[in-house]
Amino acid sequence: MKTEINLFGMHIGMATQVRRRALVSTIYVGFAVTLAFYLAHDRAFIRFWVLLLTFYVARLLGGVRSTEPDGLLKPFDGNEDLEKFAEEPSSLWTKLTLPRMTDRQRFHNDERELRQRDRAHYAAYKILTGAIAIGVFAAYSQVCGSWHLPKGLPLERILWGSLLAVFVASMTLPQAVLLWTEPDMEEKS
Amino acid sequence: MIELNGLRKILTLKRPARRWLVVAYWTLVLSFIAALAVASRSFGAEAAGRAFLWFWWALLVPPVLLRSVARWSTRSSILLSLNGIAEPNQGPHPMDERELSLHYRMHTKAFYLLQIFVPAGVLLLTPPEIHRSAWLASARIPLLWLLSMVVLSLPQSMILWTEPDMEEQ
Repeated sequence: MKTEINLFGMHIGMATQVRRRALVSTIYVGFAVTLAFYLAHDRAFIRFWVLLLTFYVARLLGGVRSTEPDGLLKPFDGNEDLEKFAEEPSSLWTKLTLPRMTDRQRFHNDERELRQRDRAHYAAYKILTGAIAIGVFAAYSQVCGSWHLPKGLPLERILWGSLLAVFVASMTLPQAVLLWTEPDMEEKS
Repeated sequence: MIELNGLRKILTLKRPARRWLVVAYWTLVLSFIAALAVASRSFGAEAAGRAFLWFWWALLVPPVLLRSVARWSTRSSILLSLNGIAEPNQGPHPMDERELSLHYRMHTKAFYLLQIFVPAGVLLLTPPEIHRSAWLASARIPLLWLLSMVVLSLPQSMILWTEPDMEEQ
């Protein structure tokens, strides 16, 4: 994990857990506000904005495949990509699907990092499953008439809002779990 | 979460038997959702939605009740495990390091699959001009039902499908 983040050219230190948690909280509060705005005013550009913002945040946090992995975390599947790149470095398919992996250190995850990656995905998966279970329970209560949707808020908009939320979570949640749970860098050293 | 280690019990089955189990489970889920999608045209979306929610709860509640009656009921273990309720590292027989690592790795792989399918679904279904397509309009809700089932059961299905037989190990 890197100790600083590159936000529009500004380098902000992220070595402490408090700062990383503040970053994660800010990101999810931002998404929550945007999705609430979408629920209030159904506009196509908000959906588009959420998609763009999610890709930007995923790149900022790292973990995803990228030609220039400058996020906080190394690409999660960097080892697999390194193996594929080593097999056929000059084939067209490799050039189209993989970044240029000349700097091995930027992509390679050691044993400990792999274990943390898998644990973070497990935790993220459980959070996602729990959220979907709550959603299904809420839908069940609504269908059974225990509560009613507020006027002016159609069920369809809620469904699309939920799908966007699942999209955001699927792209960013494991990274957020890792950034949230990792101790201070100084403590570790 | 319920303390339970159902997956380990199912893993003692031979691989072909496990694969049949997974195929049977997904056939049941897919055929039920397809039937509901067809039925929703005759009986209305609300009735179909209610039926799906009953189906969803039927997959979870009876196994939990069974579990409280028969502590090691295999049938309840299978259903709970397939629905992601089982906790891997708790209870009287926690998983060892290898099993735990496999369990976590499969969740990672399942998460990668979700990262492909969820954006694809969002991009396919959200543009306004596609909203006007009658087929997609009727397919949207069943697709959401399917997504909820996939999220619940995908890692467990992958473990049951890919793990070699005990003897092979």
